[in-house]
Amino acid sequence: MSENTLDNEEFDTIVLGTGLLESIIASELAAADKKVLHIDRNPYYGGRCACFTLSAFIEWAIEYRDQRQTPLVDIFVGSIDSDSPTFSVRRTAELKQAPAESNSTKTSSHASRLFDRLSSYLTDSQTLTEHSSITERLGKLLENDRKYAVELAPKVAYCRGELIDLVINAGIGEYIQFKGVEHNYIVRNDAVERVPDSKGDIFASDSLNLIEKRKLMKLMTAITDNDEDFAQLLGDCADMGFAQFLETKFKLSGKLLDSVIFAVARAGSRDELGARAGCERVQKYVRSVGRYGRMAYLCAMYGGGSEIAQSFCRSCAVSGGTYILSEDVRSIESRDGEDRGYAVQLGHGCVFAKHVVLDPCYAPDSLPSDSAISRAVCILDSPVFGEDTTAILSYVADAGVVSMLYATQATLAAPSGQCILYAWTNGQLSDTRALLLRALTAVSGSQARPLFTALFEAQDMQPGEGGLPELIYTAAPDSSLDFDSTVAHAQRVVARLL
Amino acid sequence: MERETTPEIASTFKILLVGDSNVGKSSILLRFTDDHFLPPEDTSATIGVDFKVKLYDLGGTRYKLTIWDTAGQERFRTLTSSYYRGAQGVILVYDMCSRESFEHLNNWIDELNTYCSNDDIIKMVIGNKIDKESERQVPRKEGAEYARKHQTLFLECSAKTRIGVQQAVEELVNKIVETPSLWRKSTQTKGVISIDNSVTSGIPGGCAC
Repeated sequence: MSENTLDNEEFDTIVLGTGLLESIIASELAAADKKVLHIDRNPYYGGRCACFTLSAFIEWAIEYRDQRQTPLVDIFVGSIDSDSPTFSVRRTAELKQAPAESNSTKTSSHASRLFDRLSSYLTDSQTLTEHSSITERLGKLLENDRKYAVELAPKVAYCRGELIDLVINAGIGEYIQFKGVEHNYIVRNDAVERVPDSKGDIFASDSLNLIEKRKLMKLMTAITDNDEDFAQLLGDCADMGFAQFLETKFKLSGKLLDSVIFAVARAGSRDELGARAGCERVQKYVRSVGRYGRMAYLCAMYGGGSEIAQSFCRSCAVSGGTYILSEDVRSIESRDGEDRGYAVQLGHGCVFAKHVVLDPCYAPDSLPSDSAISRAVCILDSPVFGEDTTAILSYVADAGVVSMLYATQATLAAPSGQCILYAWTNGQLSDTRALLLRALTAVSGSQARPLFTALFEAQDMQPGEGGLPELIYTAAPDSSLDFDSTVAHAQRVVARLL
Repeated sequence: MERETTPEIASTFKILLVGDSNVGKSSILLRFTDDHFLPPEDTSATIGVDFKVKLYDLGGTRYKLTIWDTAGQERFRTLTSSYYRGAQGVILVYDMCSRESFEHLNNWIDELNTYCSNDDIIKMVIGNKIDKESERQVPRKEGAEYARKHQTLFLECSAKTRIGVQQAVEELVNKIVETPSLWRKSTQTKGVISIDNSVTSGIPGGCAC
């Protein structure tokens, strides 16, 4: 058998897609002595939570993104005030004719090559005279290309949550470096305020008055003690929404109420959570504080989900898993006869497996579902909350709630002197565009100017009707801030296969 | 003997092994860290070798080396970019009985340059399997010439007979020690949190603050 072909090889499970969810599954199966083949069709790891240098992000927008899942990527070079982005990267079919002449004197710098590729997507608002200034600004950004770690689906980990426990159990702590998420901010009425993390923090807070401090302490104590009285109280309020519970039982209102609902319990909307679910979220948050320091969350260096996914992939490889990237998955067919299973036709040959676990993007007949997450990534020219820190934010407005993550050189996400601001919310981009841009503007304020901003939506995908019934489909990263729902999903799949 | 004076570990170095399948990366690793050589029938493909830790004393100073194997991810050239992160040294291995593995060094150097976060990283090219002199396809001179051209260290060795292995790693580590910009504690490592696990935690400058 030749070293670099897999033709006719048999596996227990073939996993398609190297997002975090798929990578955890692959790693856990290999650790249980299953023979695993793990494949990605792209030349990079991370799938839908991949992380890129800036130029690689632009290439993702042009070339690698799944067009069903992400129909368009709008890119602003410079200001985001304008209604129209600099580039609007749409479906290939909608491509306008590229401008015939490129009057740059064939300097063929990285920036101008990228500009040439992007130029087919210039929006009409850009005049020809502006082109050279756009190229120049892109060039300036690309001088630091490799100092950017741009994530498609940023998330952080609860210090005391399922992901960190799994990292410990899988023995891959050595592969990943984490740093604390030092700050938690709430943005209401376009004003940014710190959210106290702990009881000590509540005491020390100068944005809370004495009455507010007492109310908050009472809530924290009740939820952390979680004694019989509290269980009774929760039982009585089982049908109540979390907001109503906090209002009536703990007399929270205004900023305090919003801080607990959105910044601590991370609700996506005011009435998303019931009383019990909300209290469980607060409890998880409070229990996370103190495990690795005074913060509730950790952020992986070099770009969260992708880095963690790669660590699980390595763990899978150490246990004997086989890896192929840039691999063409031509067909998946069920195999009748002996022990059923599947035949998967790859560029490297035909391989067989008892089970196939796949990101729905790999099924040719998958369709976008109704649920979508709109995402923004924005590089700012100055670090608004400090250069060596990471922060989470929640932007709360009548139009909706936006989750945000602030990353800097602390996690090697941006060059010194700049920062990356992520913002995401549930919904189609057509409905959320204004909200996302407003959130970015509110946080960057007057201190920082956007250098590069991209807006895109990530639609969840559903297998089509004609799909093989027994295939196990994974899902896109959801809009939650942390990884625990991903871990839970992976564990459900693993339990099914072991 | 470790008890008497246990010098403090001055720094931890991450050293990577890269190169084609079957050139003997894992064998070099096992020879250096455990002075052990697996019979060929056990080494057809690397399973279970992750990284090995070895303490290394130089001039009264103790360093901790974590030497990382490819875990078989080199087979289809799918090493993760995270594999390369934070490395101070890299050993590029070819089999001197396989011209193909020597010619593929270019690919590995390209990949290294793409992913390596540190421009000063110390590289060493190693031609393995000199115990099989009669099957040699790459003259020593050619290997040395290649290394000179790419400004890397160079040695030939045999993981099987242990010739050159110790010397290779020592030369690499000495060079890393001479290049403090590679490992001096920087702001990047400030506040790095190690996630406890059964394996020793060895992040340079790491602290659990």
